[in-house]
Amino acid sequence: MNCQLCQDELLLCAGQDRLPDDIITHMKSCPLCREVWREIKAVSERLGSDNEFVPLDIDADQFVSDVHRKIEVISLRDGASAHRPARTDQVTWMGWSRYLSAAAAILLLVGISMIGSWKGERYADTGSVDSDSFAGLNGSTALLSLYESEVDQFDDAVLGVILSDFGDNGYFEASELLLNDLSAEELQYLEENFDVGELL
Amino acid sequence: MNKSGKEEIDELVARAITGDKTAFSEVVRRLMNPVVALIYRMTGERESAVDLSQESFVAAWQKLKTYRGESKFESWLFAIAANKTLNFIKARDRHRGDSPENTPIELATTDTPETEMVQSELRENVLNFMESLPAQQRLVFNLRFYRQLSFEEISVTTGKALGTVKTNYREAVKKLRRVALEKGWKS
Repeated sequence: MNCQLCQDELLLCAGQDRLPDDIITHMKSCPLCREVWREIKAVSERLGSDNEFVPLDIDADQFVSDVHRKIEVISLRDGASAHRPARTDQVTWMGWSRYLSAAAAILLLVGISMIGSWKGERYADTGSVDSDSFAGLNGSTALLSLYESEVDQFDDAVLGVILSDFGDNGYFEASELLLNDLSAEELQYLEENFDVGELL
Repeated sequence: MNKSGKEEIDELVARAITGDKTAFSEVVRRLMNPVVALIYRMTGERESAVDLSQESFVAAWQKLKTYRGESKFESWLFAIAANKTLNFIKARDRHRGDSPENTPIELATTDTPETEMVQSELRENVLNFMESLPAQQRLVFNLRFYRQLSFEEISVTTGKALGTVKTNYREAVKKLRRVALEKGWKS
């Protein structure tokens, strides 16, 4: 062992009572490393112990009592959050898929209303629907064509409502059944994220 | 902590894990001082040290079932306390400002005035030294010097590699020697 290695090890031994055997052996014949160790020990003695850093005015009973009080507060809070209304839990559980279904439904309502009022004009801007497929089609067929690209987003109940609301008039009147199925959060989401105009 | 003390703690912890709050209260009593002292040296703030210590015990109670006994309970508890303290220091350093209620205050003692002066100077020296260290070095130094944890235990407690832990400690001690020389720490 050389002095460099020894002094590196001595740094790691600061605050310890025992030294490794190879360090002790080296220091027996090395006054320089002995002096380094003496200095490290002297500085270490000026750091005190836990006793100097524990406030003497802390009451142990009060401390323990405060810990249990905080545990109790957290338990009550966790218990309260476990009993939120089921509707919220359901929305939370279904996550974004619920909002997407509702958003897609409303978008289709708006789109279909526009198609109905155009009555046979080509709908050329969907990107996913061939505009030729709309030439001369009545509202129900147009609706079905659009649904085919979006149908995965709907469950059967929603789809059935939309279909039953779309009459042969060529325009769509928003279903109260459909809108009533949406929760307040879903309606708010649609209002904030889509231009649904007077529809809601 | 002698062997019998450690064994007693282990028995209390085993009972606390089953939900025994009385046993947990005793664990808190036995370990509150080292936890408070550790956090006080880390933060330099008495009130924060007490609050963070209590939060550490609360967190320990909540996570007690995850304690597997692979490390000493004290090390496991210090890991929780260290995490909370480092987060506190990070947040505080971001919003650093003068706050009289958090200024380090003199710790009351019942010793003679001369002893109190010596202790006060010691605390001031140590807290200033701690403040000069990066948070991670501060933590490693506290765990090694004051709690006598091995480097392996500190590595587990802090989640840092063994080599990193040793380097942190080595650098902290080097700085300690420089500071003691520059400031003329009296014996």
